[in-house]
Amino acid sequence: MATARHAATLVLALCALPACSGDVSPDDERSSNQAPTDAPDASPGDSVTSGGNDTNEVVGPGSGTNSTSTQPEVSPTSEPVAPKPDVSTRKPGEVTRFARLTHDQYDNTVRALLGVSDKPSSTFAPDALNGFAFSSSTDFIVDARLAPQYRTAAETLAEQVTVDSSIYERVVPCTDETNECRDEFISDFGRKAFRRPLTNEQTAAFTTLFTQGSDLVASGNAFADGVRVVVEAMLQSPQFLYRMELSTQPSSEDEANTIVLDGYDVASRLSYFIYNSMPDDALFEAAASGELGTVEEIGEHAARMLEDSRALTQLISFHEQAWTFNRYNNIAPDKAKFPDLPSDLNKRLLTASRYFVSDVIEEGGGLEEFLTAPFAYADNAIAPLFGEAVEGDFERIALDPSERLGLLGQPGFLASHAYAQKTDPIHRGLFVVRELMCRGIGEPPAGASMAELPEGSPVPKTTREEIELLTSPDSCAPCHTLFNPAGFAFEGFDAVGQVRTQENGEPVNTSGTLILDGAQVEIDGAIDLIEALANSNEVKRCYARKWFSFAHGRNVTNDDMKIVDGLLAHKSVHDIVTAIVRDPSYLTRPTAEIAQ
Amino acid sequence: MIPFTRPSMRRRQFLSGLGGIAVGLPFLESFKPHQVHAQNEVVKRFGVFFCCNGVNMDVWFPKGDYGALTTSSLEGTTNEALIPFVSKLVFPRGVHMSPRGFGRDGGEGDDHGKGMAHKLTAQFADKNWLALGPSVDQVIARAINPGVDGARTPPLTLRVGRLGKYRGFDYISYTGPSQAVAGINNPWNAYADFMNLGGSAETPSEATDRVSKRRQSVLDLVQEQFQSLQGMQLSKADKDKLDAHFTAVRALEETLTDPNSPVAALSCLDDTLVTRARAYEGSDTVDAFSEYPFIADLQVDIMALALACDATRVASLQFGSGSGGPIFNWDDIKHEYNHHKLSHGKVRDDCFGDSTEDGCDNVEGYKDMLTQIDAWHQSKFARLLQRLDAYTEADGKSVLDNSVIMYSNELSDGKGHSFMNLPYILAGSAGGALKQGQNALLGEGTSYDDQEAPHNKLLNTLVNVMGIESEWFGVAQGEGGDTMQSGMYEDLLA
Repeated sequence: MATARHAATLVLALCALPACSGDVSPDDERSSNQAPTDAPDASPGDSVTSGGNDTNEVVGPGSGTNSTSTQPEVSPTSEPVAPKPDVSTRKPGEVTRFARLTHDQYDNTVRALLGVSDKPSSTFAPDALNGFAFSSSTDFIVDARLAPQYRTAAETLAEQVTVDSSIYERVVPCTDETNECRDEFISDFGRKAFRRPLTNEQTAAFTTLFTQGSDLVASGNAFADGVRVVVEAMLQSPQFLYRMELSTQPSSEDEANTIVLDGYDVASRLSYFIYNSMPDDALFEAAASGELGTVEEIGEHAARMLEDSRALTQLISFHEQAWTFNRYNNIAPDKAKFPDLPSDLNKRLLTASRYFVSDVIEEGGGLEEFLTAPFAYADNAIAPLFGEAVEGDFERIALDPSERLGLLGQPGFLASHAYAQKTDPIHRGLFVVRELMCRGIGEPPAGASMAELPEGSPVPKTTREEIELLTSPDSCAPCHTLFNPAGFAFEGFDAVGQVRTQENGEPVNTSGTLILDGAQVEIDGAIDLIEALANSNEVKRCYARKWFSFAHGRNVTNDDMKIVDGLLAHKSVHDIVTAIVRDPSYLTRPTAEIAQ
Repeated sequence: MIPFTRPSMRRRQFLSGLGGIAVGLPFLESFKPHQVHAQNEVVKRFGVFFCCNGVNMDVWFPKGDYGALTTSSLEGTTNEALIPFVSKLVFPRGVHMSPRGFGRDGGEGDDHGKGMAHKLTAQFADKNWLALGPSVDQVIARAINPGVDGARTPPLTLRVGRLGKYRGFDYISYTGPSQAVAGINNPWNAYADFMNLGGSAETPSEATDRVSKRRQSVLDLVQEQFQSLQGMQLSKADKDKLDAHFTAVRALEETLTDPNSPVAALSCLDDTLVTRARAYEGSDTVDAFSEYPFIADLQVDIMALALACDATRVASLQFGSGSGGPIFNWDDIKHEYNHHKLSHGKVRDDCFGDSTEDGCDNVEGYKDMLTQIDAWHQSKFARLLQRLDAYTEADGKSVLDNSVIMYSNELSDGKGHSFMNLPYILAGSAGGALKQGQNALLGEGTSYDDQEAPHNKLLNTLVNVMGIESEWFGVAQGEGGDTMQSGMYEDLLA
């Protein structure tokens, strides 16, 4: 807790404000801009901080918009706070039939369609995420900035098709330049680009355009010109740019409250969820032969797809976003205090966490293993943080289960929720409550970050003592008692995640009371906390909510809670993904969103 | 079979997609800084030059009495670089943010978050600190930019530095509630963007005609695809989404079919600028601090050209972000700490106030460092004004004269996160609508209870001088705290 407490400059201005202490702005990005040069933001949408809207109840002084109220709405610890979901009933139209491809999806789709290696989206106007926690948002639109950029990309790619023989041969399935070849190209490429067969009207329209190609391009090769204009037009068509769900067949089973999705709609759903890209050949074939109509068939395809490397990338990406790995950017321990650490510690810790997540997924693990698996990854530079020695590159190392377990016991999490010299129990605790329990915690009252120790306070000897003093006033305690204890449980680790038993010569105190699953739970230390979390239904439900949200690209509503609860029975990541797509609702869409 | 050319041709071909001509070939004209508008109409422009983390208040403002602004008012201040334009500037003084900071008017966000979200919107922020209404640049563009109502060119939104994330910290421009517009930080993309936005490429060649014809044919088909969807039963949200897209596609057609749109006689193609911007084609280092000064100059030049050639009449340029910013280490500035740290005079981002505990060491001489940063920003502002003033329009005035360019900052005193006595400059008279050469006192107090000169009224004044009648700007009247005001600052009007 390095926030200074003696804000002399503004004491006058602040005296009328409630003083809640501690710099508790969540996901504080202040230091994320301080990397000397090139801590690169990945492509827009890649480095999304979770948080967003997908939380249960929101408590805290800042939770009411336009409200000057600073009194939290919950009482301190008088009774356990059960998570009361603030999810709303789904409004018509909340589930879109037209999810615009995200920029990543555009790149992946173009890569699969044409075999190009470019990332055309690098020139697109970046999407603002506008509060949604995942890059899979279905809310993106095409505005007047993006439309011309889509045109430019389509023109460039279409031209590439006719100048690069390997792309041309992939796109045009025949070589004889006859009318039959033309028809075959339009039908084949059109089906892939639009992710369903062209209608007769579409076929006729694109054929007409094809024949105009020689006049419109005039390269001297009429057939290639036709290919070029057709590709150019298809890549700008809404059927390509949106994941459209065009099915209209009402279900016969539920009083027509739902529409049954056809095979092509299902194929795209599956593919963009699991691959973040367009359907592969097997999915297209299954869609064509009507083999995507039952949950069993979908389950089989999901199982096949989950073995693909594209799926692993996507599954890792989910966990990076759900658990705010972008905070690793902020890791910058004090050089004087930790002189032996490498300057690229943040990158190494990110790599280590990715390896860990990847192993858990590949070995059939799930939430429980993420929390409790007794191993980690370390290279020569970060192994000393574990008290281990590793030569050279990353290796899997065993953890002492009495000291560390899972992701929360690793330096990546611990150092990304710490200040340069000291630990940051407030944010460690907030992570547990916000990201693992999906509880909304509101903003601290204005001026909280400049609060001073209450008058007459003793001089604190440890970080914990300091934070307890700072957050003791009535305006702070009601919220802080909800998450500080979870953070204190990690006080057995220093700012870079090394085990410690003392701080400033004082023994660390890691005990506290937490509200979990509606009951008060006594915990002492990280292992205690981690095991409690791993056994908690609230934590499992939160994880399931995040999966639902990621899979569907929208926030969870009341209508979805039954599905979310159904996911709790599934343990491994693969099983959860499979359960999401095997839910009967995955084959349908609500009628309410169509008829209006 | 086709005579295949080498794929490496593609890079070069990219620009042919922009204006239908291969940029860089000798037959192209570079722009000529004269005679911008063919017609005699005055085309007003609006620009925003936005900096973050406040300024060194001690030396930033004009010296001497309120009233006429003279050379000596700016001598020795951070704004010395603006002396050549002293007769075209107004410093609106004593303006405070409204809704206010420190949670005094409610709403979400910390002081930095509020500073960013409120400044161009005068709206509260949501729980992700995104503003709950449109920003002034978007409002003005919707009314005056080229195009037809409902399908006007969007404002050009540029930034220098890292792209934003999901929260409001990083954005200034909003199309609507919680709908931030992410600024473009790659100059090549920015240039390509406005070339597509309607900048005319004057190459009356056969090739261009064919490109237009091809695009028209392709567009016709694309529009057919849209129309085939419009018969479907759709939710309102999906209808709106498709409509917005269709409108944007229709706007592409407008620029193809209307020879008078845009009205500029000045080409938006500038060979030199193309060459300089092209260095960033596909670049993954646009957010490296070492590129910051180069990208700053490019973005300024691109903004000036875009306004001058009428690719857009509204543009904004944002430097860094609230609570962040680069380490200034160029142009004789050698800093060890980033802008945000220096704004607090501390070696760490998470320090606030004066305590030196917990590694919150002071940075000796930080105020002078802030002055260096501020002066550097103002030199870029001067560069923008110089460019705009060099273009002469048909009415004999410069583009700057027909524009109003607002300097705005997220905060005033960064160390205290103050939202009072904000640094503002208005440059240009918006075609004679604004007074010039003034150090204009609008509000006296700097106490946090001061209510005299809310910034929502300044934004409303600007909306009006751009020719759009408006009584009120920002949070609905009566709901935005007790400091907001209706109407205009009459003192600023000519």
